[in-house]
Amino acid sequence: MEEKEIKKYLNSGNKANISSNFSFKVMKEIEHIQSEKERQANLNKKALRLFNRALIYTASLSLILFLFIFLVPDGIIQSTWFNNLLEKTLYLPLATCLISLVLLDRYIQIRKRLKKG
Amino acid sequence: MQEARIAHIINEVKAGNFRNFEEIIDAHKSMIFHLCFKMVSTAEDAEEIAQETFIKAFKSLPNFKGKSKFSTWLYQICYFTCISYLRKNKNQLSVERNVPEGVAEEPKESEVEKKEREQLIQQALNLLNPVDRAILSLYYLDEMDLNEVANITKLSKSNVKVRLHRARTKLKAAFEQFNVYEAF
Repeated sequence: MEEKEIKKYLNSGNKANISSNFSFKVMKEIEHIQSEKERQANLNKKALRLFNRALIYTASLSLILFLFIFLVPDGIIQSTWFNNLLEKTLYLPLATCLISLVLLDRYIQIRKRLKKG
Repeated sequence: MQEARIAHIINEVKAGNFRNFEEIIDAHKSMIFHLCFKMVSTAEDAEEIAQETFIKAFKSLPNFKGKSKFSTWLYQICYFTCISYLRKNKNQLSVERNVPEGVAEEPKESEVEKKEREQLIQQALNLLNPVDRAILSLYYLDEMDLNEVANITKLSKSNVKVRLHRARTKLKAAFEQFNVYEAF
């Protein structure tokens, strides 16, 4: 079969036309996708701010607790209940440190996601 | 549409001005729809796949590096969307493709004859597998060279050549079976 003949037959197969509002329909769908993407990005930004704040608070708390335990000389703080608390709960600064590490990890992940878009 | 204009629109879309994508859709919708139609044979399904193709293209636009022509990249997405659609709807489509043998009950006008001829050709084309139909369509109707067809279908150039030869032979046999030559 010759090339011309094949073209003629392929062209004469069932014909169909694309609907006139095709572009409109696709754009509508794309608009929806885009707005969903923006909504997600806003949520991520909010989460990022929240994690950022929480990270600063826990990291500061952890630092302060460590300072009290290792650097401040015994008896300088008169409050006995505070000294007792520090002695009894040595794990407290470690726990806050751990929490801040977890928050840092989440923070980095959200930042990466935001960068990717 | 010129490649430079397409590149400009892509950059704008990447920058967030997604409304310009409509220009790309308008320029390519017809060719994408016809490839889909050649592969799936029903207009509704073809339109649905064409729509999916453009959405996929929009989503993966940041990954388009411009190594090939934009139309080739779009054809590639379209081809693989059709293939996965056909895989999903294998049973359903084989029933739909059984075109009724009697085309019109009252053949009066030339319009009916034309329709009948179209049906016969479609019946013959439906005997080919969708990949062969796509290759025939890309090579003969869109006038692409073997390299481009191979690029779109991710087949080797020699494989495309062999498939093209087999499709032609099958088509000839199918046309004889359905007396298409007599209808012309």
